[in-house]
Amino acid sequence: MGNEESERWPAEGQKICVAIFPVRSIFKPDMELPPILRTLTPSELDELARAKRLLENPGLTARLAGVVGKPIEQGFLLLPRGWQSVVNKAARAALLTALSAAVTTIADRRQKHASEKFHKLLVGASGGIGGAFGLASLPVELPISTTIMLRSIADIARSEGHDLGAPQTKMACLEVFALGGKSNLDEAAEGAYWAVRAALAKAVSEAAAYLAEKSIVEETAPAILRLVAAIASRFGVVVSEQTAAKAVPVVGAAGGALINVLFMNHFQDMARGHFIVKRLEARHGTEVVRVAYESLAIPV
Amino acid sequence: MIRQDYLMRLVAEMVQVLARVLSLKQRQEYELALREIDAALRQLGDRLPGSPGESSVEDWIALCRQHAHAGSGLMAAVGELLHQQGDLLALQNKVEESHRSRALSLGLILESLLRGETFVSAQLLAEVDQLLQETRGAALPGAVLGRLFQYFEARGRFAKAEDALFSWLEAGDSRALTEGLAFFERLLNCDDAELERGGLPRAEVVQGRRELLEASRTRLPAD
Repeated sequence: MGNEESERWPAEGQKICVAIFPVRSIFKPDMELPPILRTLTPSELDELARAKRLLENPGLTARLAGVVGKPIEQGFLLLPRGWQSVVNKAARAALLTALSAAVTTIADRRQKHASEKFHKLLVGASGGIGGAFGLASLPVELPISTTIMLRSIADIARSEGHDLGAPQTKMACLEVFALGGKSNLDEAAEGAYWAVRAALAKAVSEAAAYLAEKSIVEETAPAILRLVAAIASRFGVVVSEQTAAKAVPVVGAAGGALINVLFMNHFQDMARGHFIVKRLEARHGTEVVRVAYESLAIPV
Repeated sequence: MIRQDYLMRLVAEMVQVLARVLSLKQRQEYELALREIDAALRQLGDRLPGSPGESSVEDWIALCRQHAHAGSGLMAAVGELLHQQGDLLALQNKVEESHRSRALSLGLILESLLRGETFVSAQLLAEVDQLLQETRGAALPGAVLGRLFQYFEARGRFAKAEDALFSWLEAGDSRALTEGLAFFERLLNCDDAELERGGLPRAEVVQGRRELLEASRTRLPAD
């Protein structure tokens, strides 16, 4: 062990000299100055930490396993053959329905009568659901519930100060369905928020540009197909987990509605985190926020 | 993470309670199953103004709404517990108590659907139909009838919505008149095919509106 006193720097009484160069003096006159990085205030850093906590939480898988009391994999074994195809088709159809809703109704701020608000959704439910439960009813349930979730996501975006009339905000609402569901295409760990955004970036900007010129969604437009496919590959993962959890006999019989609570809550948390990040990006720029986000330790 | 942990724990506990209740019910241990439900409702309803057994639909809704976005899901879940309670009480021939639990359950599930934040599953819609069957012939509270009226309209079942509206009016709730008039106005703006599909052709809409105005004069207390 060395002497503690001798390891202290500067030693007591010792003077140090710090040379402070004006930033411009170390650059040649013809060099471009680096951008001045604006930093986040302590309260903004707190908000970002909250967003990170929501976005990088253990994920729906862990939460479902906690509720079911068993690994979700056991539920997958109980699903009928061909379930993946049903889930994938339902996820795509649900996202297309949600996208249409995002384009046509999401910015409508009029307070509507409750029955007027849900009229079309529940009328749809009347026609398609009757008697079939579980995986069989998913193709009808999921588009209705995804549109309901989208409205809730849009409310969260609005509460974070985003303009719901802007195509970028509409796309950001839709992006939420890709969060917290790891696709086979993702190499990063589960919940890698920026990795998902990077993977979606091109499809999102193409779709936003397309929608800026259109008032309706043409389901066969390449920009729409690419966006829906990119989000569906991740959304389908979360839907699969929810379906598998409900396939566990005890849960299916008793707690289907409760599993749905967690499913909806998962996307509401993702939306809150996503729109906090987006709000800070609008103020400080994406790069500053990303660097700050990645440097934050996730509070447990 | 306090809110998140709380919700997780709540959901996990409720799944376990429901699983135990179903198992006890299967073994015909109704009293034990009812005790399980009672304990769970007491725990959930610790912030209710009265005891869980005496609290109204509105009290339960207000309690669930404290959980913000998770509120609708919780309403559906509490509704499920109350439905089980109603079934168990019916098995014990406790008709009145059973009806009360089922009516509460129906009110909560309808509210969760109408609030538009819950997952609309086939199971949930079937549960509403089942509760309607089970409560048929007995009076429902005005708070439930008002929601039933909205629900039927939302599902495009206009004739049933009209029936619920008149029952709501009969229960003495003055909101039934204003809501009812607005309902008939909305229907008059629908096309004939939609009205036919809903079981209420245009002539019946006009007649219904007239009857509502007449009924309101005789049944509602003067303001």
